[in-house]
Amino acid sequence: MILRRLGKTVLAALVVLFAAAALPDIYWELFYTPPKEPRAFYSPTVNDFAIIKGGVDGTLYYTPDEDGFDGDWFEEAVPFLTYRQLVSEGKLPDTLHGVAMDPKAIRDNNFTFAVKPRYVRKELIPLFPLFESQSGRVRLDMPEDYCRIADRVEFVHAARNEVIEEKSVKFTEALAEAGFAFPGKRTFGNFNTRKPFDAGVFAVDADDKVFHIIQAKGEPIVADLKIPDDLTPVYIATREMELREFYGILVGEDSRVFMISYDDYKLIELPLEGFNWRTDELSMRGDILFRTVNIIKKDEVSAFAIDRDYELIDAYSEPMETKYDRASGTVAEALFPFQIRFLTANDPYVGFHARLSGPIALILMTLSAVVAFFVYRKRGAPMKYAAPGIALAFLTGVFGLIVVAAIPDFE
Amino acid sequence: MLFALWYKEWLKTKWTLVAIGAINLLVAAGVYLDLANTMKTVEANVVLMNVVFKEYLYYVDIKYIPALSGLIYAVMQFTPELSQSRLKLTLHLPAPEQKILATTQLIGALELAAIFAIDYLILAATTLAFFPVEVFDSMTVTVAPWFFAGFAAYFVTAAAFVEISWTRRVVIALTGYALVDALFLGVSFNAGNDAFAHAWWAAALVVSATFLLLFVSGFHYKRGIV
Repeated sequence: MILRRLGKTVLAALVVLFAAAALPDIYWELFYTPPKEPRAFYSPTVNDFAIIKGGVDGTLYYTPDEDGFDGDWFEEAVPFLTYRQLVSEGKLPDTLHGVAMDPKAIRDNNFTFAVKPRYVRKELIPLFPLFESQSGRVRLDMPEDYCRIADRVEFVHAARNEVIEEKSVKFTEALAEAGFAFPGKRTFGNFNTRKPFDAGVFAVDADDKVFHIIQAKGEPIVADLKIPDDLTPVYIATREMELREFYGILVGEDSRVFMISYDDYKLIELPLEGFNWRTDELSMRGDILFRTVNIIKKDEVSAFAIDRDYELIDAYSEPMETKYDRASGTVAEALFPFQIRFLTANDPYVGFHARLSGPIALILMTLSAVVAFFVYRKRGAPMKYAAPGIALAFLTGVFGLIVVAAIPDFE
Repeated sequence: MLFALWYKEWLKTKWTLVAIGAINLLVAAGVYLDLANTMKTVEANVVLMNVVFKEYLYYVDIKYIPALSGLIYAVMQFTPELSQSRLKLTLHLPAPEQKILATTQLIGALELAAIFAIDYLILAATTLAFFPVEVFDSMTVTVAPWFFAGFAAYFVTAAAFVEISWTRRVVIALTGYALVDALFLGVSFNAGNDAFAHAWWAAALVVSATFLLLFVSGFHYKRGIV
């Protein structure tokens, strides 16, 4: 008897759980149109942000003060993005802000970085290729071995699938000598051969300190970045650029963002406000004059223009409509007392994400309870058996009503 | 009495078991052969690069096989019972109803578990033969929900089959489908192969709980509660 009761509870719980996941999902498939997300670029010709906002029904171009521009205006406002087109039309200025506009120099100075919550949360398989950075060859070659930094450094020969003892010992000793605390945590780098040269990897040790590891002619070169004690790195993105000004960017647990410079690994903090890596996307675009950072939140996009000395020049922010600002969002809140999702855009892992609706849901919750009451009365069920069903219909609204309707003797 | 039940189920399901086992074995062996062949034509470090950074799932062929196995097994096990209401006779044997249902379902679960264990052993041996242990860890976390889906498909199909009311049958089937579907979440290119890394225990718990659904259906079936 107890097993059957338990079985019934499990059935009711599963129906509610998956109805709360599936019904809102179907609803949003029908009624959701993604909002237009603005992207701001700091323009050297307008000396203000040039903003582009695209969607399926056309693109808007504007500045913080003025709107109604067209695509041609935008192309000239962001010459570092569109320099090839401008060169072909003879529209590229000779100098901007006193800097000569040479297409090669523009190309060499352009870069982008992106930090997304799912990038930070994603744990890759903890193996990586440590490239030979001074092979004397023009192209980088995939090494034959893979590196792991666990209780010590180990190189596993890919084809033979065995540890290369001599090399492993050599690198373990080099890391230990530099002060690396084993076991290692995550290792970051650019693990592909499509880059002009190799600048090694950045490994986080057991004490959350960061070490730079390069392989040069088979020998380890290890450096402690000596990051401050109050900084716990959660993510590092690297980029090998001929510019050789910085290795990449580093994001701290407290959402501070730093550039890792070539100058003795000095960390340069970006003057940003309101960034939270747990929920926000950061996209950084650098060019010969400025660095522009866009921070995309659910309900707001903000932009920061930074000069090459990493001083803030200008900032801009624009609210964004979320799906609950619209009529379809209000209807969803009225229909469903809560919504469940197992996957979200910010997390690569399956989890349990519930969103409770506002007080407007109470209308349909109460109605569900009333319907449940009449369903039980029609069936002639005594109140003792009807009460749990009515309570379920009230607490879970339409989801509970499915249980009441489908399991007649739900008690 | 229960031993006789075991024996009856064994006689009924042994050929189903052999057929499903053969399909599983072929697919798992295919995973090995495919990978062994790839390792002969592509350098090992490039294959490993694709496994680690490009989420090349060399074992993806096995993905839906456990769920299909569970579904087919439940159909083969319960169709003969439900034609001419044979299960009704079984449920009136001098043994507790829930013990009979639990035994019947346990036999199926164990036979499926044996098949899945062989699948997993082949995948594990294949992985460890060619790749470092980190890849084995990732493979295990990735395939675990697929095998859970096999058990979920079996338990839910059994409950939906034995249920006599069509409304309840549809609700059980839809809910079961949603559960099995959820166990395949997050496995796609660049979306994360080990999607259940932090939630595998929750998935296991929910799937185990579906074992209990048959008691509800069986109760309705024996008493003819529509």
